[in-house]
Amino acid sequence: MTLNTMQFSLIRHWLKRRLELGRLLLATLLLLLGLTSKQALAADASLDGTVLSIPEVSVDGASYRIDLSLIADSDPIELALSLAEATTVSGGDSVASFADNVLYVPRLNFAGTVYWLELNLASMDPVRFQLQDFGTQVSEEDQRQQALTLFESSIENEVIQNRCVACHIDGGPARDSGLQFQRSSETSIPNNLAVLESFLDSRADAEQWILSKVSGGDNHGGGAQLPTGGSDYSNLAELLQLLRGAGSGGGASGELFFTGITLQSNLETLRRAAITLAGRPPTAAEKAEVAAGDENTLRSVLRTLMTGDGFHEFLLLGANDRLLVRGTPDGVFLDGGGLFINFVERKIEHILADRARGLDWSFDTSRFYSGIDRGLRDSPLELIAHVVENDRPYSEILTADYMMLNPIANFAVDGTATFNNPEDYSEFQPGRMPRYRAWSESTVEEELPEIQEWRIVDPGDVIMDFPHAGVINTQSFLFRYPTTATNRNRARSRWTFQHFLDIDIERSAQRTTDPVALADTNNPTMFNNNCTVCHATMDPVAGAFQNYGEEGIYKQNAGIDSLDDFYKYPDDGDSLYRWGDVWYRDMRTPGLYELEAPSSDNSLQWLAHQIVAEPSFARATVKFWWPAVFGNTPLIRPEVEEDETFQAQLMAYDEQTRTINELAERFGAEGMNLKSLLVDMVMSDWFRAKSVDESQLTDSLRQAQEYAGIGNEVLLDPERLARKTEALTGFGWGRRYEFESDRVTSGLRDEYALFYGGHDSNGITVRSKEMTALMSTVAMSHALQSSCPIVLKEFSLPDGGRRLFNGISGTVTPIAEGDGHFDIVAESAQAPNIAQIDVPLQAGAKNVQMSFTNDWCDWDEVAQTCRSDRNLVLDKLVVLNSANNQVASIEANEFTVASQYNCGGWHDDNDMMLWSNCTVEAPLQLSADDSYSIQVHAWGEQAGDQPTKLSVVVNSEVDPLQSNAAGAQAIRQKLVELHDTMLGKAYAVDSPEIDTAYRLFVETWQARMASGDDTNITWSDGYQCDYWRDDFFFDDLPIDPAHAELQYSEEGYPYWEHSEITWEFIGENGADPLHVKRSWISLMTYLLTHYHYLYE
Amino acid sequence: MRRRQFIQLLAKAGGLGAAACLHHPLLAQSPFAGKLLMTLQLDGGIDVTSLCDPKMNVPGEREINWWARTDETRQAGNVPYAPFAANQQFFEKYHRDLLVINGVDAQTNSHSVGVLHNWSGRNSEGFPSITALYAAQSAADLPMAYLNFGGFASTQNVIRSTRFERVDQLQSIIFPNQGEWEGSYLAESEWERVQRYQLANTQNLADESDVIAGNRANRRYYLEAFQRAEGIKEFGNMLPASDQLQEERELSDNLWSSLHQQIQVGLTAFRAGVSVSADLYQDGFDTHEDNDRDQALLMANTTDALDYLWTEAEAQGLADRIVLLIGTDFGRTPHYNSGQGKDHWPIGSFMVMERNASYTNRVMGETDEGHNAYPVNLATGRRDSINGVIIKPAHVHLALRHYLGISETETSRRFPFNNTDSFAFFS
Repeated sequence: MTLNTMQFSLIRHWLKRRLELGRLLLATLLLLLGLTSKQALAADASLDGTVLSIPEVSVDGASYRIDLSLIADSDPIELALSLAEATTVSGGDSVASFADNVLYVPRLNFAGTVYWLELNLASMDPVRFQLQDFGTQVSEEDQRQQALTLFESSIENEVIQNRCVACHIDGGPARDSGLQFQRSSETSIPNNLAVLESFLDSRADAEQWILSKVSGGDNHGGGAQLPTGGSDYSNLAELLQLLRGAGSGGGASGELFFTGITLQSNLETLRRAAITLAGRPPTAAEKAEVAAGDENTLRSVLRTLMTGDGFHEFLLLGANDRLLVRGTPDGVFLDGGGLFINFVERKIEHILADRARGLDWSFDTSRFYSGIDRGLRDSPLELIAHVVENDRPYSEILTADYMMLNPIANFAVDGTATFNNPEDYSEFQPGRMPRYRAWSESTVEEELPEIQEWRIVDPGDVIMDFPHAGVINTQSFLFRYPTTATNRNRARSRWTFQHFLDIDIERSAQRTTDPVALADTNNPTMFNNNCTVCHATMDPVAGAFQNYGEEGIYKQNAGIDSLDDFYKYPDDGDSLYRWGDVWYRDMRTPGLYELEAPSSDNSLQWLAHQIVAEPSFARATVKFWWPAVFGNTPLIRPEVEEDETFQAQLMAYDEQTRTINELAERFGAEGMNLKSLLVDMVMSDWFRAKSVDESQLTDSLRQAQEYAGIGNEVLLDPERLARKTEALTGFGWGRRYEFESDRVTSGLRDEYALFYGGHDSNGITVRSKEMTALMSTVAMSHALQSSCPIVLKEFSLPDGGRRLFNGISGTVTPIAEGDGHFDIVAESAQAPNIAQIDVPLQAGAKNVQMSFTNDWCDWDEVAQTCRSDRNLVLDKLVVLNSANNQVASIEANEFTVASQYNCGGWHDDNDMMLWSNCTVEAPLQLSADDSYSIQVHAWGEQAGDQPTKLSVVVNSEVDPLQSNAAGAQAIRQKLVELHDTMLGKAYAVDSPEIDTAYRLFVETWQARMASGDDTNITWSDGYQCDYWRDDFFFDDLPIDPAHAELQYSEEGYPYWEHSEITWEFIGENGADPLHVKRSWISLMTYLLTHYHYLYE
Repeated sequence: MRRRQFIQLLAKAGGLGAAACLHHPLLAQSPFAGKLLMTLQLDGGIDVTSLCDPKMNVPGEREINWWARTDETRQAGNVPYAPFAANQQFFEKYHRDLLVINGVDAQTNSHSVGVLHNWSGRNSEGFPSITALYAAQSAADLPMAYLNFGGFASTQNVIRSTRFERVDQLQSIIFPNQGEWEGSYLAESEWERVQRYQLANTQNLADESDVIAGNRANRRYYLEAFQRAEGIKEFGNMLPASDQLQEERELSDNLWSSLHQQIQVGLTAFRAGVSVSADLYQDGFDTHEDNDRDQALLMANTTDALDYLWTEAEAQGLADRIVLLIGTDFGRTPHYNSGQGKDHWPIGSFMVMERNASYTNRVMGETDEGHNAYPVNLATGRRDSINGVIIKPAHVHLALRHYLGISETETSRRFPFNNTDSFAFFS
């Protein structure tokens, strides 16, 4: 910028007030004389009389304070160096610079205005500078405001709307470029400006790139739009310069979004990924492999997680969360306008059979319909799972020339799939419908008035080979996104764009409210610019669905077309329809963007191939699966600049978009393997972000991170929580087998899913990921109703075969030093059994507890007495030291009953009989530390199939909370394991978290011991243990395989009936003589309601 | 946190603080006595020309309404209505409690944008629903302050919504330790102990520093949820037994309504003092085919539900506190399509209902005979071609915020309606 006369005069006026010539102290600015280090001042330069003081000049990394004195009457203005001294480097906007003989002063604060100065070195000796240029300094904020003003006045309409949006818009020819604008609307000005700002951030040469393209360079597809030298070009250049000077929009320019963030370790990532993708924790082998390896090892192991039922469920749920096909009601797929002979015939058979049996609706009929519903409703989801699980290119979800069917659906539609087990409706196989029929004049039906049905006598001569096109022409997809005579497949088009092309038609342009436009009846979707803005893109794809009517039937009109009768045969007779037409003449030709479908028969197959070839398909795929992996939906670009969080939102959005684009690019370039994409997503910072160092965050960055909601603790979906509990504990809350459709469901997957933030794919379509008070009661119910069955099952399994409680028995108390469990087979006092435990003990007071755990009686209801009765008889307690010397012998009649009810009493010869489950105890005083053998002499009054069972525990008389007994150590160690297994947290045995859990255990145990409550967790008075809530509870328990039989109701509905053996087994394993199992039940409730259990 | 500090905190939680930690929040403060806000979201686009903005047919123009062939617009008090469905009964009974706002321009024919615009006041993402905002300002500490039975429920993190479905299953989870037949799953003392420990543990997690944003929010949500769970029991005690619940109604083969049940549960929550706002929801109004048939069924059911609402509210002593905002995505075309349906039309209406209010028995906003919105006077709501403004959802939301006393709060200022005229809807 050159001086103008007014500014020049002003400076001369002020500078002429005082003149002072000084001798130079420095030969050059690089020599230092009479140095005095002073505290740096990040202040502006100032002018005092004729002396220009510059607090800090940066020269080659060092800083100096200098004074320049005006040379009187100099023209051009010259200033001589009059002072130079070293100073502390401070930085800031006010620091001047000297380089290449130019001294640049960014801020001279003078008379309330901030100026910049540019001075050339005119002489080295003496050092003199010549004022070359100067001007007023504009703040970044002012600069941006100038940019906005320029944009509003000269760019938005003249350049963007008049030229750019012809191509650079969603769905336009330049849809894959980095510049996507909005058509004119209330928000288009700030948004389109933000698009330019964002683009300037994306590449270093963005400014030059844009100017080159608009003037026809760099192979611009749109040619030369703005000739260089023209006013539009100049305005655009100035705008870009202003934006660059202001720092582009989008929050703190140059800030890294993940600043200050610590990522999860490889092991932590493995666990979260395993729960997310496979619904289970990682195995020991997987953990070991990852622990020993590097990031590549982690990637490899992540890949191996993607198998099995858990991954299958992940795929089905993740796909349905987007497609919402499970929202289709029951019984609609085939009972409408289609001609499915097998379905009709079998339906009639069922009706007649039910009628003959006097039933309204038998199980067989119910299974018929339910199986078909499952087969067809889940077909698109199973197709996606099939493609992914078999490592096929993901594009096949659209290009597949087959569909997935289960056996009954395959039969109903006369499909070609073959099955391993035709009776298993959970098995899906690929098949086709080559014999797809349509009603025609040659179809012959016969009425069955007695059942109000029609039998197909002759299906007619219309048989078609159904042109499968992956997901998009499954009945399920077509039903979920229906059409009408006026909608004309536009909804199907809209969702196809949304799910597979990453284009939200409804957000791409603001609809007109111009009443004239709204009243336009001259085919506005074809001719009115207010409407074609969206319909030009949407309607060709709607046309590609031309062969599918309202109910998704292919060529429903006699195999010719699916046009509606309102169009073909209007009341006034004035129709555009001509015989043979398959699409509306007043709509755009079926196709995609500028391409037209070559054939009407398979336009959807053609469309599918076009879609997967678009770069946006990859991006759409990333966004499709984003919620399933990260637990939240992709961010939407903020629209209103005045929102106080706009900048933060934009920063978060830009960073996420960058990630999405990178993932998409790699996915598209490497064969579209979804498993690979899922691995990349899990390895990203978005998945692994764990903690943050807040001191490194600016306010804007903090806001942006909050808006994005990044973090590794995401509330588990109800389905995922169910699977996690099943995998970890072996118990499913409300888990049951639905015989109608061979589906396994459970409380969290069904009746409680909506309460816990799930959706029904229909009225509620979005998951709630924020815990509410009501949701917390579901978590509590899940924990309370699962805890007892889990503990019961665990201690019913042999040690070594459990999921959670290996290495500890159900009688280990916090004060126990050792325990043992014995079968007492002796039947008389003359030859008792000796139950012995060997345990190291320290000198001091001890206590031996002996428990009868399997009381049993064959009760005679008539005689009101036991036909046979099992009881335990204790003879004596003998203690031997390591030298096998007896140090104590206590007769049973000296034992005291520990239980608070009458369960034992004297028997012959100083013996004590325990006639119900009961615990007795004997105090012991040991005088030395030694290894002792504790022997209990006992026999039993035998009855039933089992011998009498005895548990023996040796306790130290210590405070349980302070106990260091073997039992306390074992319990603490078990708590460490449980926290690791269930919560994924590795705590030390003496950590606060383990202390907390141990304290909870001890308090519960002590309260129980003092309560006198019953000692069986399955039938305690007033307490329920709902193990029967899980149909599969007994499956891996070591009881007779014939523990349950399948029974049938009158209507044929099957149900399991468990045998007496089962209840006996449960009762026996529910024995809890020392209230240890009950204490573990409380702990289990605590762990199942723990934050780190519910959030992964 | 060091071990000793942790144990000290735990000891505090285990002692006198224990009961307080799980204390019913309502017992620590006076019950909320302010207004109770409800919205009724008629999803899909109700045909307001057959309800509160009746349109007769114009000779020479396409037919707007079939009922207009043989009948005429009626009026109850100062409120015109269409002689359609069961409107007469409703308007005759409730016109004194009714403010009708016609000519509301949703500026869209898109369902998603129309829903967003009408229920947040803005056609761009980023604003919460009016019910979320009200709950956040009025009673954020209540365990189920904001209920949502479906439809738009954006909260923008000002509060969390409690979602309801399958009300018959509610009892089984509201009292989680109550066994189905006898007793409980844990002894009450044991369950209280577990909760006490869990609360202390969760508080520690919420208090940790250097927690990343998403995790920090989730920990806070869980802590608050856990603290407030006890407060739901009062609601559970008042909830009708399963066989006393209003049943879902089958209006036709493909039209269902649970509106009466939603109202029943919502009023129960209000009476229990656990909620202050609720979104009621009814879908099915997107009648591209057979408009009159389906609109009649749905409208009749809706007005019947409204009658049930006010009758029940009266019986429960809540009627004088309820403010009900009734709205929809947008309107329907002022003509039929070839399938006897009506398509999307950006002009719709709101209705506000409140007992004993000074602003009711009134209509504000006007449309022409073709159902195009007129600019109307801010004070009178009458057509004003010089100083008038076309009503938009923002105007309604702004006025409602003022009326409810939540317009000048810190939270509301985060969601401002800038440069928005103030209509005297509630004056």
